[in-house]
Amino acid sequence: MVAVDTAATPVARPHAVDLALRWVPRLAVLGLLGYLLLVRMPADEKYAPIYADAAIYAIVGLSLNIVTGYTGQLSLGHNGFFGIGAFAAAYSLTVQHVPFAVTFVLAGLSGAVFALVMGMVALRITGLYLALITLVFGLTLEDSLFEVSWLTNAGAGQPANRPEWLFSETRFFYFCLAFLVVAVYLDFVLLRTKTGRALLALKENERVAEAFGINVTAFKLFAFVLSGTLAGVAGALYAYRIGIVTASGLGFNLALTFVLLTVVGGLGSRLGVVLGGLLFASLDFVLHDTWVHNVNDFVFAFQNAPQFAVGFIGALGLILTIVRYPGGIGQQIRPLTRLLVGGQRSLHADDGGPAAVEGSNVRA
Amino acid sequence: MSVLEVRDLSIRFGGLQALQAVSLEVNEFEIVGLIGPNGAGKTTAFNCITGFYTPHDGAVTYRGKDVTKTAPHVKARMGFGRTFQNVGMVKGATALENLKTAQHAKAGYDVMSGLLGVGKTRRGEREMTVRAEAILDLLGLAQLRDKRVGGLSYGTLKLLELGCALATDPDILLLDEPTSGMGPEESDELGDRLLVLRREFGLTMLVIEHHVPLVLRVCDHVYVLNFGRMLAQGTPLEVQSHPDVIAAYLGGEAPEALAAASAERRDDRERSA
Repeated sequence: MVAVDTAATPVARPHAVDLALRWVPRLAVLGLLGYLLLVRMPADEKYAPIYADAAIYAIVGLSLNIVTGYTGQLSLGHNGFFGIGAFAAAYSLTVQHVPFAVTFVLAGLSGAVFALVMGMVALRITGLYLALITLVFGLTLEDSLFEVSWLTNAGAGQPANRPEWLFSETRFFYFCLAFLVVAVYLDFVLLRTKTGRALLALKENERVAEAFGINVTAFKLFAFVLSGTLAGVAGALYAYRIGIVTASGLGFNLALTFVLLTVVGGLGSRLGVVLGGLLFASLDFVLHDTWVHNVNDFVFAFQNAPQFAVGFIGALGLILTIVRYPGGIGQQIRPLTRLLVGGQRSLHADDGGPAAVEGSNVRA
Repeated sequence: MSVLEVRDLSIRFGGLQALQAVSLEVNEFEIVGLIGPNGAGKTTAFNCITGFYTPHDGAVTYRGKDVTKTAPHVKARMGFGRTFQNVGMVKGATALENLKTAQHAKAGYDVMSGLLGVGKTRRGEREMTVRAEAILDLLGLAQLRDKRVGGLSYGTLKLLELGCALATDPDILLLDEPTSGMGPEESDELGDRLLVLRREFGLTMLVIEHHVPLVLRVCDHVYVLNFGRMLAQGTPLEVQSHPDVIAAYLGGEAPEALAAASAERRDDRERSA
């Protein structure tokens, strides 16, 4: 069983027809999705903000996925990094008159700095206690820094006005989408190189990672800093999306939404997380402004039903993910992604199977 | 000059003296065995040598350099390749990915250029894949290339883990029970492999092993640990006929056996804590 003949089976070169058969359906599906998501829907000024929100949520989802999905540390404080990014962008633009493009750099940097501090905490504390500390971090920021007078325009909220060329909601959606594409690309490259392998190794077993020559401390910090940078930049987009930043939109509910969209989207699944962002960004709208609200009113026939329904669907998704489908939405769409990428295996939790979820018990 | 020299290593876990003044020496191109009953402190000694534990006393010297307090990942880069008693691999990843993870320090590009995805990165990735495939071929595991390692049998895992240790491009290999989970034939085969590896790659090895025929066949020198102390050392034949060693393995006197049992339980607790 250990001894196996080393003669490799010869692999036939794919024929042109095979290639066509493989790629035509893939491109067709991609084209259709692209048309629906990129051209048809956001073209409407009314719906574009929802898609912009979805892109912003997706970036935060990817950011959270780096810390939680790849290195296995739950963060309930990503609203903190997000909010810092939002305030940094709004403050530097409106008060300091920094150029528009530079505000994104500043937002990313401020997210990174706070994430570095959180990363240092995470070196000492893991698991449930780290989750608690990140939670306190987010809550504290909400009540302290996000209430500071000079930052919040004396509590009235810090304005963040888009430049003229971005006034159009559709255009702003494409602007956010460009950031999302960059984030997805970064995430893609991250996982395909030694960095991603190092993160996954240290998630499963720090000792094994060290035996492979991986500097566990440095990579844990790196994961937090990268995550904080992404969340900060997403915060800046959010600031320009709503036009005025106040503490009220950056509370614990937001942190919870981020965690939900990442977990329900599918930890470790890039596309799943992006779709999770779309789901949670559009949930409110779908429940209120489409035919669904009739069903909604019927099922939850009492006051405040809308908020309740959003929470209910989130909780239901979470329970389903934990109990039945550990891979979340990412697990559901895997047949489609297989079709698109040709069943190529990646470092992602392959089929969300137990091996991908359970830890290792190596003793050193 | 010896590759690895351990002088008077001592470590305590609470009240348990896990290692007491343990000394050993591994010379260039030697395969040195470290044997002893369960709970004798063999794995603890490995952990001190590879930097996972900091000994309370004593020194570890690698090619004349004091590395007692050097971090494990730095030691791995210096040339310490090790395997674990329970398999140490990334179970969710494939065999190929594990072998590439093990080449982390030899990737040939840094994290930043890795993120930008420049040409150097792609070249480095290709070279790592080639090296990983060469190791798979060498161990006769080529057909496992894209299999997730979580589902493999224990013996196969141990062999693949050896491959991962090789992939770190080690100077000295520290193998913790490389034949556990293997049958007698596979163990013999592993002995052949170790000899081949030494010849082909100029490796030096320190091996914890229970399988006596393997120790007799491949080891140049054997150290015997018992209750955290060095009980005996010598050539495999000398050690095999050493009265103290026989007593330690066959139980010796009753009080000693009882003490061994309790120490073992204690050791297990310490390690799982």
